[in-house]
Amino acid sequence: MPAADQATYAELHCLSCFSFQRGASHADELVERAAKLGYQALAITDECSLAGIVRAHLAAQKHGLQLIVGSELTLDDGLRLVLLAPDREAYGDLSQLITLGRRNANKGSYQLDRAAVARHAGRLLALWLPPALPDTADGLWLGQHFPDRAWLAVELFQEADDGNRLSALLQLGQQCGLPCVASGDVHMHVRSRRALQDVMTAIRLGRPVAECGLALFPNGERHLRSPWALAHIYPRALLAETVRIAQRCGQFLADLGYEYPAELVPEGATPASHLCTLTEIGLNQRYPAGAPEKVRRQIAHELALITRLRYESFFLTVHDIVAYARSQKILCQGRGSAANSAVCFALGITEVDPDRSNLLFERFLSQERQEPPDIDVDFEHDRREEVIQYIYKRYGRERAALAATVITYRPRSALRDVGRALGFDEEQLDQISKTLAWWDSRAELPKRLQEAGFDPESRSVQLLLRLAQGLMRFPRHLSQHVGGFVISHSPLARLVPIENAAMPDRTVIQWDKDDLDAMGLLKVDVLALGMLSAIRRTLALVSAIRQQPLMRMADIPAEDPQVYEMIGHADTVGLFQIESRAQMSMLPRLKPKTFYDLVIEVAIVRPGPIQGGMVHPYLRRRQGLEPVDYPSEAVKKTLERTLGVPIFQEQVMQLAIDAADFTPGEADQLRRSMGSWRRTGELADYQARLVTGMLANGYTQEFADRLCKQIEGFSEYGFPESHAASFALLVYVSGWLKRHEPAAFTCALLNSLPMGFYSASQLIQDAKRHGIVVHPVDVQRSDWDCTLEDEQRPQHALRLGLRLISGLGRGVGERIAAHRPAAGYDSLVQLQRLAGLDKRSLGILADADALASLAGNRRQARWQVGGLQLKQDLVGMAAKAEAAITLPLPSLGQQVLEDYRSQGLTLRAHPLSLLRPHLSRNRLLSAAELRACQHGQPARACGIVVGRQRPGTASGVTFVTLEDETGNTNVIVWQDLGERQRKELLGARLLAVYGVVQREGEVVHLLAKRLADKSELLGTLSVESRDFH
Amino acid sequence: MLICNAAAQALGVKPGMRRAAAMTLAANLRIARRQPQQELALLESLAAWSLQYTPTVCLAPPHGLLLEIEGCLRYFKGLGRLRKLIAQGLVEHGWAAQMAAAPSPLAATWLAQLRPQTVIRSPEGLADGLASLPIAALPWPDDTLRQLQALGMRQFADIHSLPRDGLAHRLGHAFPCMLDQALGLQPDPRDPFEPPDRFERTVALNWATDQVEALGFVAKRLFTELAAFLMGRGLGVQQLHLTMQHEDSSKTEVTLGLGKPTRAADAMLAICRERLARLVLPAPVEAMGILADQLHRLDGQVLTLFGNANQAEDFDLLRARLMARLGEEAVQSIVCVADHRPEHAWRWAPCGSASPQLTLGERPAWLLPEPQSLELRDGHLWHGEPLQLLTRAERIESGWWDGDGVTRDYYQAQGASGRRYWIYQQRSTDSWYLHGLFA
Repeated sequence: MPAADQATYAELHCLSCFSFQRGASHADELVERAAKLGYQALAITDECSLAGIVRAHLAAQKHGLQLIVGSELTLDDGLRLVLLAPDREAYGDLSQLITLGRRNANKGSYQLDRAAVARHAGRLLALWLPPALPDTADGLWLGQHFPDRAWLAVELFQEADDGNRLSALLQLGQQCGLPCVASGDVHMHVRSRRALQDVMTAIRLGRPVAECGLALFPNGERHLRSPWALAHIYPRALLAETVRIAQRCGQFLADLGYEYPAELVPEGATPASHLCTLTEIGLNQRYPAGAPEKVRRQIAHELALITRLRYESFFLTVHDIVAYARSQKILCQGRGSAANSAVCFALGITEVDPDRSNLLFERFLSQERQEPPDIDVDFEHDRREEVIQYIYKRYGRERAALAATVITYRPRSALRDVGRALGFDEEQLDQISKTLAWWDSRAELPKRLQEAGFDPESRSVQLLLRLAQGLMRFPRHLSQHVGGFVISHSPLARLVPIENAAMPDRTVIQWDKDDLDAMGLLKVDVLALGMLSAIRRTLALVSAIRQQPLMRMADIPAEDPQVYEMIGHADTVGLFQIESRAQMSMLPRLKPKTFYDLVIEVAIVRPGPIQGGMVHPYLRRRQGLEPVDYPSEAVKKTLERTLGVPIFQEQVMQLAIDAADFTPGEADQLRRSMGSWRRTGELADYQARLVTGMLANGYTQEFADRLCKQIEGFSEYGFPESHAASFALLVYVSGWLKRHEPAAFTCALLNSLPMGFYSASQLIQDAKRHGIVVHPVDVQRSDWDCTLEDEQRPQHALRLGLRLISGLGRGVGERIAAHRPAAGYDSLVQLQRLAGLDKRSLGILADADALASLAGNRRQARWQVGGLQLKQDLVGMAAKAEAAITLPLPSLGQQVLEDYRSQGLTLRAHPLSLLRPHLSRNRLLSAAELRACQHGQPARACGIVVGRQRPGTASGVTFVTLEDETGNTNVIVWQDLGERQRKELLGARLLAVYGVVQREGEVVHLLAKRLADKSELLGTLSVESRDFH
Repeated sequence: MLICNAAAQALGVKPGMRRAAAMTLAANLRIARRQPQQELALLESLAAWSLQYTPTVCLAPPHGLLLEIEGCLRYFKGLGRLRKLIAQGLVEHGWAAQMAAAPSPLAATWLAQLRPQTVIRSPEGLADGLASLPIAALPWPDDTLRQLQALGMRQFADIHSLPRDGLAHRLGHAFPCMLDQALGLQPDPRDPFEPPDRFERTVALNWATDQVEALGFVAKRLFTELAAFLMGRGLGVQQLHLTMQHEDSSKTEVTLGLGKPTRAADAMLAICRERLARLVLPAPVEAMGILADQLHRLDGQVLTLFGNANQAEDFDLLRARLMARLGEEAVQSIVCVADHRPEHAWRWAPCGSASPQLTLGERPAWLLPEPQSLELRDGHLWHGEPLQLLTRAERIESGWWDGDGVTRDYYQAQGASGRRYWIYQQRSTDSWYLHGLFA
C-alpha cells in the first residue's frame, strides 16, 4: 500500500455514546483515537442529537482534529441518512430540524418525515445510508433536495457479500447520479468495545444478549479502523471523497454567537446604564440614610468588572425574575458570590448585607475566563412553577428552555442493566442491588457480590463485573436540570436542539450545565427551597395573629441572643440546615453567638472540612485550647475570621493569590480542579505551583503542605462562603421564628411538607415538648392545611389539617372545609351531601378518627359510614334510619396504631409510653434517662428507629436515631457490630441497644455493643389480652 | 413464604415474608414454588381414596375434603372407629391431615383448619362450637375480614352483636347467608366428587436427577397416590405408563406390565425399580409421570376402552414408525437459530418443528462436527490438495457471552478437484481450519 495515501480519510458517520444504547465510546475517546490514526476529520453524527457535540468539540480542540457536526436520522418511511453541517447557518438548520423531530415525539424518541427534511435541506450535506435492497427513487429524491450536496454512503464491514455489495452500490450511485463515499457506521473507538456494544444492543432491545441473535453486529468492524485497513476494503476514490467532503466543512463551534436577551433595557438606555440606574435605586432603598463608603466602593468595582466582561444583561435578567417573584409575594433568595455581591444586594437578589461579609466577588467573575457568572436563586418550593411559567411567558418557548442533566450509569443501574443483558434473573439482580445500598466504592464490588451469595470467580460474575464497570458513567438518557434556565436573544433552537422532557409542557435543550459553561451560554438557576415556603407561611400566620401588616424577612430583628441561646442547646428541630443530627451534635460545642458563627456552622459540618481535618483545629481554637497564629499579615487578613483555619473555598483562593502569587483567574481554576481532582488529577499541578509559590514567598514547607492537604479534603465537597452566608440567613430567620413563634412555625412547616429532615410526627412531638397544644384532625374544625386556634394561651393551639391524612384527596379536604356550616355539620349525612363525599373518602376519614365529633370512635364511625345510602334518588331522601349499635371500644394501643397507620403520628400517647412498664422491667432507659447518665456508664435503651445514616466520611459507622416518648437517642454502631448484627440493624423497627454512654458536654451518644430487635413488642399493642388464646 | 425449615428460621426468615425480603436475610435460600395444580391433583386422589368410607365426598379447595359420614356411621360402628380408620389410612400413605366433624360443611371446614379434632354432633351445638374462632384466621374474603376487624370484631361470636340487615348492607347479602349455612340454619348443598376413569399424574422434581434411588422415591409417591385412588374405587390396574421428562425436553417412556390387575403400590414399585435399574437414562430427569388409562375390576376385566387414534397422514405414519423402531430421539429436525456463529446457528428439534427464515451469507450444506485444523504446504493451504481462496474474508466475531466466543475470518476455497471448502482463519492465532463443505 502506498504510504502517502494512507492518511487521506475522514470518518463521516460516527455515533458517540449520546446515541443512547448504541454508541459504545465517549466523544473524547473517539476524537483522540481518530487523531492518533491520522484521520483528516471526524464527524460526530449521533442519532437525532447534538448532545455530544460540545464534549467532542473540546476534545477536538485539545487534539487538533477537525470536528464535523452532523446527525444520523431515520425518517418515518424508513429512509436513513446522515446530515452534516458545513457552516454556522447549516448548523442552525440541523439544530432546528432535530428540534422539530424531537418535539414531535415523546421524550427519548423523534419523528421526522421527508417534507421536514426538505424544508431544512438548503445548506446541509447529506449521506444516504441505503438499505439491503435500495430503491433508486430514494437516491433521486436526495439528489433533488440536496443538489451537489448528496452522496451515497458505502459502508463495508467484512461481511460475506462485501464484493457484491460494493459493485451494486457503485452502480446504484451512477443510476441516481450520486457520488459514492466511504463511511464506517462507527459505534466504538476500538474493536475491544465490541462486548459492551453488544450489551447496549441487548439493553436497547430489552432481552438477554444471548437471545439477540442477528440483531447484534456480526463482528467488531464498526470501530475507527486504521487507514491501512480501510485501504484494503474500499477503492481509493471512495476514501478520497471523504476528505473532499470534510474540506467543505468549516469550524464554527468556537463562535456560535450567543447573545443575551435585550428587551430588559428600556429605549435610550444601554445595558450598562440601565444596570447602574437600577443599582442606584436599590441602594437608596437599602440605605435610606446613604450607603456606607465601603459599599459604594465595592459597587463601583463590581460595576466596572461587569461592564468590562459585558455581563450587564445577565444581572438584568436575574433582577427581572426576582422582581417578578417579589411582585407575586413569592419569597426568594440568591446564592453564590455573584449573587452575594453588593450589586445583587442593591438589586434585591440577596438579603446578605455586603457590609457584614467579606466575599470574594472574583470567584464568579473573572477577567481571564470566558465563562458567564452563575447565580442560583432559591424560590418557595411550591411556588417555583409560577416563576418558571413567567420565564416561559416573558421570553417564549423559542428563547427559554431548561438545561439538560445527563443521567449516567451508576454502579447499581449498570449492574442491573448488564445483569439483565447477561440473563441473570430479576431476583438475583434485586439481591445485588440490595447489597449495594451501603456501598460506594467500586473496589468493594466483588466482596459485596460474594456476600450476596455470588461466586466472584465464576465466569458470568466476572463478565458482569467487567462489563458493568465498562458501562458506568455512560449516559443513559437526558433529564431536566433541577432549574437551570437558558435564555437567549434569538431562537434557541438554532443554537442547540430542544427536546421534550418527561414532564408535560417542559422542554430541555440537549446540552447540560458543563456544555453551557464551555459554550458561554447564560444560565440562571431557578431552584426550589422548602424552607422559603415555610418562612413565608410563618410570616403570614404571625402577621395575622399579631394583626399587623405582612411581616417580611427584613423585619426580623438581627442578632437576637435568645435565638443563639436556643441554637447553642441544639434545640433546632425544623430549622434550616442545622437540624440534622451531625449539625445538632456540633452546635453545643460551637455555641454560635453571632451571624457569622452561623455561616461557619453551615459550612463546617460538611464532608469537605471534616475530611480536610478542619473541624477539630477550629473547635479547639474557638474554645481557646490552641493558640491562633498566622505566618504572615496577608494570611491573617484572609484567615482571621475563621481563626486561621481555612473553611471556605474563597479563603483557599485568596491564599493562593496572596501567598503563592496566583492571579484571580488562576485561583478560580484551582477551585474548579478541587471539584474534579479525583477524576482528572489536574489538582496535582496546582498543588505543586502552590507549594513552590508559597516557599518562594517565605512560607514554611509545613504550612504549604497543610494547606494542600486541606484543599484535597475540600475536593468535591468544598463549600463557598457566599452560599453559606445565604443559608445562614435562612438559619437565623427560621431560628428566630421557632424561638418566638413556635406554634406558627410548626404549623407552617407542617403545611410545607415534604421538606427538611423531620417527619410530621417528629415536628409535632417537638412542638408539644415546647408546650404547644395540638388538636387532632376533625371534620368539624380542620381545614386542608393545619391552622392555629386562639385559646387565650401565650401561644395559639395547633389544629392538624386534613392534609395529614394519608390517601385523602386535596379536593375532598378542601370541600369539607369550604362547605362546613358555621356551626359545623349536624350529621354524617349532611357532611356527605354538602361536601359530596364518596364512601372511600368517608372510610378514610373514619380511619383517621376525623369523624369522632359526629359519629363517635373509629369503629362506630365506620359502621355508620357503612350504613349511609349514597345512591338514592330524591324520593328516597328519607332513608330509614338504622338502629344505633354499640361496638367494642378500641384499646389505647389499638388507637395509637391506627393513628400511625392513617397519619403517621398520634396525639394520644407515644407507643413507647405504653410499653414503658415492660421496658423498665428490662432496665431499658428512655432518652431522658439516658441524658442524665455519666460518661462511660453502661446503659441500654430502646426506641423506634427513625433514622439510619451512614455518612461517607465516617468509615463504616452507622448512626441510628431512636425515638421514644421523651425524645431521641443517638446511637453509634461501629462497622464490625453492624456487620455482625446486620439483621437487627437493617430490619428492626423497634430496637434495643446495649452499650456505653458517650458524653461530651451536652452531647450524648450511646455507643452500641449489642443490638436486639424488639419489633414484636409493637405488635402486642393491638392485642387485648383478655380474649387472646 | 409459606413454610420454611429451621435453618432458614434461624436466619430470620418467617412464614408470611415476601420472597425478596427472605432472600436478603438468607442469600442461599432455596425456594420451591407452590404448585397449585399438583395440590389440586393430590386432593382429587385423596377424594377418590375417601370413597371407600362414604359414597358422598366433596372437594373443598384449596385444601379441604368433605366426607358425608352420617349415613355410614352404623356400618363403621361409630364415629370414633371411623375417625381412627381414616387417620390410620392417612398415616399409612404418608399424608398429614387435620380433621374435625360438624353438622354443617362450613363449620367442619373451619374447625378442621382452626380447631382440629373438634367434634360437634348436633346442629344446636354449632353456635357454641364456632363462637371462639378468631375471625382473622377464617378463610373469608380479605375485604370482609378487613371490614370486620376495623369494627373491632375479633371472634366469631362478636358478629352476633351486629344486626343482620346492617351486615348485609355492608358486606353483601351472601355474608349473612354464609353465617346461617355455617350455623346449620340454611342448607349448604355441594356437588359430590365424581372420580375420573383414568389416573394421570406428573410430579416435577425440585432438582433434576438420574439416580435410580431418587427416581424410585418419586415413583413410590406416585404409586402410593395411585393405590389410594384405586382403593377408594375398588379397582386395580394391569398396565402402567411411566414417563420421565429430561432437562433437554426429551422424554423416556416405559410401560410397566404388572401381570395381573393390582392396586398394591409395593408390587408396582418393585417392577418399576427393576426396570429403572436396567434403563440407561440419556439425561437427568426433571419430571416423572404415570398414566393408568385402563382400570380393571380386580377380577381382571377391563373397565374402559378408548377409541383408536385418528388416521394419520403418510409422512406422519412413516415418522411414527421410524420413531417407534429407532427411538424418538433418533428422528429429529434441524432448525436455524439466530446466532452469528455457524456452530450455534442450528440445533436439533423435535420432528416437525418449524425453522425461522434467516438471512446470512452463503453457508455450506455440510458443517463439520468439529473444525479441522488445516496445514500449510509450500505456503499453500492444504486439504488433500492445495486450496485457493475464492472470496474476501467474512469476519465473524461474536459469542463472548457464553464462553464459546469466536473471532474468525471465513473464506470459500477451492481445490483442483473442484470441491469447494468453507475454511477460516482464527484471528487470535492466525491458524487455519476447515469448517464445512459445499455440496
